[in-house]
Amino acid sequence: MIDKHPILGDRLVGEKLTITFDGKELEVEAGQTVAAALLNAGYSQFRYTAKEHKKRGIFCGIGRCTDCMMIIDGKPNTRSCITRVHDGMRVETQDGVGKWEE
Amino acid sequence: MASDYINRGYLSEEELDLIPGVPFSGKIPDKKCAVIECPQEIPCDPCQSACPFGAITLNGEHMTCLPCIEPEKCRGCGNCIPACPGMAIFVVDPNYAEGLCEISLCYEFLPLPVKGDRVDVTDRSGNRLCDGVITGVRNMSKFDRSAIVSVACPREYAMSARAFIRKEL
Amino acid sequence: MKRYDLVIIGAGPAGLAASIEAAKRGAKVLIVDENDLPGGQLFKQIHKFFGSHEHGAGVRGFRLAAQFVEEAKALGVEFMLSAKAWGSFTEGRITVTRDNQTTVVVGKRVLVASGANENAFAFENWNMTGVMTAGAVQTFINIHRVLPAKRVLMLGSGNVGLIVSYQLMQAGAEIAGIVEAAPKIGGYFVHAAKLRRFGVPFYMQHTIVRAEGEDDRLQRVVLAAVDERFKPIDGTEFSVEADAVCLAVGMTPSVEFARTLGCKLNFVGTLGGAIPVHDHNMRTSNPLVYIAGDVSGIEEASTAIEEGRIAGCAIAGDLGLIGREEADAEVAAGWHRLEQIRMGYHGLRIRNAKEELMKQLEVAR
Repeated sequence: MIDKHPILGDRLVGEKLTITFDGKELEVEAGQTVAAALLNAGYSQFRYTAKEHKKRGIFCGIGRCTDCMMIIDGKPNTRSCITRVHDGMRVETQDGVGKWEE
Repeated sequence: MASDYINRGYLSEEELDLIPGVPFSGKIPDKKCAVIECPQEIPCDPCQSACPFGAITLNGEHMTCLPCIEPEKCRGCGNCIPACPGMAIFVVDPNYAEGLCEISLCYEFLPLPVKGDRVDVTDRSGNRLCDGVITGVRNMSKFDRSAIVSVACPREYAMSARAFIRKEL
Repeated sequence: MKRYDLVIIGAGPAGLAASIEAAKRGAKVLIVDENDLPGGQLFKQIHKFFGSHEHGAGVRGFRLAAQFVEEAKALGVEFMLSAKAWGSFTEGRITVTRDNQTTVVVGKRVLVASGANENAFAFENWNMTGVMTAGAVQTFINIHRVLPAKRVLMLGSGNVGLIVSYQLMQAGAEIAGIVEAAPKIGGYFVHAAKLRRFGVPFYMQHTIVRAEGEDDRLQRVVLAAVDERFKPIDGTEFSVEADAVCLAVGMTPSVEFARTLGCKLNFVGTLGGAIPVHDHNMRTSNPLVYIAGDVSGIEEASTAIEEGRIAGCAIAGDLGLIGREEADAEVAAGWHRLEQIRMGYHGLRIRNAKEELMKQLEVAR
C-alpha cells in the first residue's frame, strides 16, 4: 500500500478483514475493492478468457470494461474493480464466462 | 524554431530569451528574482495574484496571455512558486554565497529533503549538471503540499539548474 | 415511484455542479450514479488545476470534489448510489437497478452527465495483464493507494499521459518513458517539462509494436520509430523493460444513456466521437433532456463544471423556478467563464467544434 504520499498524506488504515481467494485466506482492509486488495497482495491475474484461455486482470479500473470479472460470493461476472470486500467474502478466479452456484 | 520546445518538452537557452516571464534575457540575473518558464498560451493566471509586490502581470487582458516579471519589483519571496499549477516558476539567487547560486523550486515527492542534504542537480532535460546542497525546505499549509525546496550549486548553473535528484543513500 | 424536478445521471464534476445550481434555485434533485461514492473521476485528480480563481485555479481536484459533494448534500440533493440507470420506457421515467432491485424514478427534466470511456489501443499482446488504461492506474494509486506496477511505460503524451506519469512518480513508481507517435507533445508544455527535468525519457515519433512476457504477464515492450503516417519503420525496433503499459490515447464520450433517451448524435472528431447535439442551454434534441461534461465532448474537469453550472441554471429556468431573464443571464455568465477557459491553441479548437455542433441543433429546430 502507498502509506505515505506527498499530496494525499498518510493513508487511513481500514479495519482488518479476511477474504478467501481461490481458497487461500487473505487479510484485507475494509473499504478496499477486491481488485485493489488482490493487487496489493501481489495477484494481478483474475480470470481466464473463454476462447484462448488467457489470463486477464485490470484494464480500466472503474467498472467500464469488464476485464477484471471474477466469481465473488458465488456470483460470476462480478467486476472486481468496483466491488468492495467484506469479511468472509469468497473470491475465485473466473474461467470463461463462469458458472453460477447450484 | 520558436515552438521547438513543445517537440522536446524542455526549453533551450535561445527559447528562454523569448519568454516574457524570464528576466535578464535568460542570462544569469544580477539579483534574486523569480524566473517564470511559461512559454505556452494556456488559460491560467494564479501567478499574477500570488505576487504580493505586483511584480507579475499577464502581458495582455486575457487569461491565456503569458506572465511577465518585473525584476525591480520582485523580492524573491517565492510565493509564486507553489501557486503555479504548472510548476514552472523558479526563484534564482545568483549571489547566494561566494561562487554559488541558489535555486528555489516546487518539489512534490517523498521523502522531502532536509537542509544540508547533498543532491545531484539536473538541467531542464534531466541531465546531471553538478552536486548541490539543500539550503532550505518550506512546506507551509497554504502551499497545499507543494513544498518550496532551495538548492545551492555553482553560480554558472543559475539559469540551467532546474531540478535535483536525491542521492542514493 | 419517487418524483423529482431533476434527475441527474452521473455524480462527477458536471453532475454535481448542475445539482448545486438547480437545488440552490429550489429544484428537488436526485443524482444516480453507478459508483458507491459520488465525485466521479474528480477524486483521483490530485494536481492543482489551471484556470482563474473563479474556475478553482490552483486548487487540487480532489479538494474541489469534496467541496462539491458537501455543498450538494447541504442543499438537500439526494444521491442514489451503486445504482445503474439503464432504461427509459416512458418520457421522464428512468429505470434504475440497485442491489438487484429495479425501480423507476421520475424527473421533470433529466441531465445526462455520464462522462467518458478511455480509448484502447491495439498492438501485439496488448491484452496481456499489465497493459492498463492511464485512468485505471490513476484510480489505483490515488484512490485505492495501491501501486499496480513498479516501472511503467506511458503511451500518449496528452495531458492525461503526462499527469498520470507524474502522479505515478509521486506514488513511488519509475517511468520507463513516454511514447508518442506525433512529433509534438500532445499536452501542456509545463506538464512535460516537470517530467523532463527529472530525466523521464520521451520517445517521440515512436509507437508500441509488441508486448512481451511470460504467463500472459507483461515484462518488456518493443518500440519502433514511426513514419509520417504513424507506420512502424522496419529495423528501428528496440525493447524497454516495464511491468505495466498505461494507455493514454484519448477518451470517447459515454453516450449510451443519452441515446436511450432519444437524443440525436453527431460525430465530431475534435470532441472525441459521437456527441448529443445540444444548444447553449445544454439542452439536447429531446427538450426534456440536458447534457454536461465529457459526454458533450472530451475536455477538462474545469469545463465540465462550467457546463454543469450552465445546465443547472437553464433547467431551473425551464422549470419556472427562476424567471426566463434571470436564467438567460446565468447561462450567459456561464458561457463567458467557459470561453475564458476555451482559449489558447487547444481550447479554441474545442470552442469552434462546439459552436458547429450547436448550430446543427439550431438548424434542425
